[in-house]
Amino acid sequence: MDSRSITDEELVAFLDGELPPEQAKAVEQALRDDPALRARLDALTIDTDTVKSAFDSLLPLAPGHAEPAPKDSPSQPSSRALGPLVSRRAAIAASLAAVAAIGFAGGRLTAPMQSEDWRMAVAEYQLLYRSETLTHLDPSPAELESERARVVAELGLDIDGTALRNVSGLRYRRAQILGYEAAPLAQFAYLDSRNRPVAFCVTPTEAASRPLETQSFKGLAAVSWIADGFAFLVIGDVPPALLDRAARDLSASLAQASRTKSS
Amino acid sequence: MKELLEGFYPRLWRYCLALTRDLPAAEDLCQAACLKALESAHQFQAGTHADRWVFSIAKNLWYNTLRAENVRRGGGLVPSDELALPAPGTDAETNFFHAEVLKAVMDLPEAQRVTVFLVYVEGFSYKEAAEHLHIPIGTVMSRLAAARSKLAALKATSGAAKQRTL
Repeated sequence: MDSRSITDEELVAFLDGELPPEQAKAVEQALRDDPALRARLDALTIDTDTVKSAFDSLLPLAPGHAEPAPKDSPSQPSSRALGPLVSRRAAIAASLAAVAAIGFAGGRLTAPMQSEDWRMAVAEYQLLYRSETLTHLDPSPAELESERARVVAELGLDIDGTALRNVSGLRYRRAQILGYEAAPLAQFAYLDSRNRPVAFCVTPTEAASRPLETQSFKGLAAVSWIADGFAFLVIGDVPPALLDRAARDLSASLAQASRTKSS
Repeated sequence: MKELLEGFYPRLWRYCLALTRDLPAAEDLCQAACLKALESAHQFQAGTHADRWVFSIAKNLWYNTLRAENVRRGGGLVPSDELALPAPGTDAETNFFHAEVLKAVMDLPEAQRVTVFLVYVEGFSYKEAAEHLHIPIGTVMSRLAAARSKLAALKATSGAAKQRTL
């Protein structure tokens, strides 16, 4: 077969395994003989598996269809007829982990908005904690205070020492600054009465405030909430009721501090 | 039919996104296609692929009506730099890479984009893609050739992705 008579279409079909066997054989032979044809083939070669996996990564972001249909969508009366199958636009917006605006040519990636995924990241990190991570710590009040001051300054939210120390069922042990994406993430470490590690984590968010919610991440019990531009998470391998109490204490102290400051 | 729809709803939504390259329009299309599928469920031939049947419904809705409406409303002309796509996963590097690939495919002209999606993402054979799009197999091939040539060129020139293969 004269390699010049092989079209780009045939080369693509060859790459995709869509040529009949005898034609594929002929192309193979021509490729062996002709460097120019190999260059043409190269200019048509892409990793189709990557295209597939990039699109597959979108699937978990499909609008949740297990939610009840919205009651207040006069512009889309039809969506109600479909019942729980279809959620409205607002629901998908909320379910998107983040929105990235990407310029391919410049290789530019606009920083994605702070996403909910930080809680999963914290959960994975918390899974590595055991009692011994914290039991050896016996910091003096002065040490704890200077550590706290440094961490909350990095975080940009002044959480006072009294609030951190007075949490039902938990002993305050340590503060450290971590990071999620571009944002600071403060971690306050606790032990419960049976020396099980619990973390109270805080990071800035652009999401709207929302009340305490008990969940489970990576098998750990967790309570999270958002208030005034910060997302909070209490997490640990302890009974949810214990975390609920701790989270209520913390959120109440923080809300009170914020009221005091603004008045 | 409703259970069937639930099963492949995310893939249907993703196809709508590939057709419309716009989140709100994709959702509208997805909803419309589901409704239409439920209304015409009696026309569905048991034993055939329900997903492909609904994909066809979505594609026809898009090309026959919704696309024109969307363009009239000023949609469908989203500049690619402002194209909002969900950023999946938590791994920043994978994210970035996937986002680049998605962007590159979404930037392809419509006919090429949809053909690439059906063949490389949904795994349609050339023949199946041709039937779905009501075009000759030769057209499927030429669209794929044009798309591959563009994507391969991007791979060669992209600084950020230089070490990676598209």
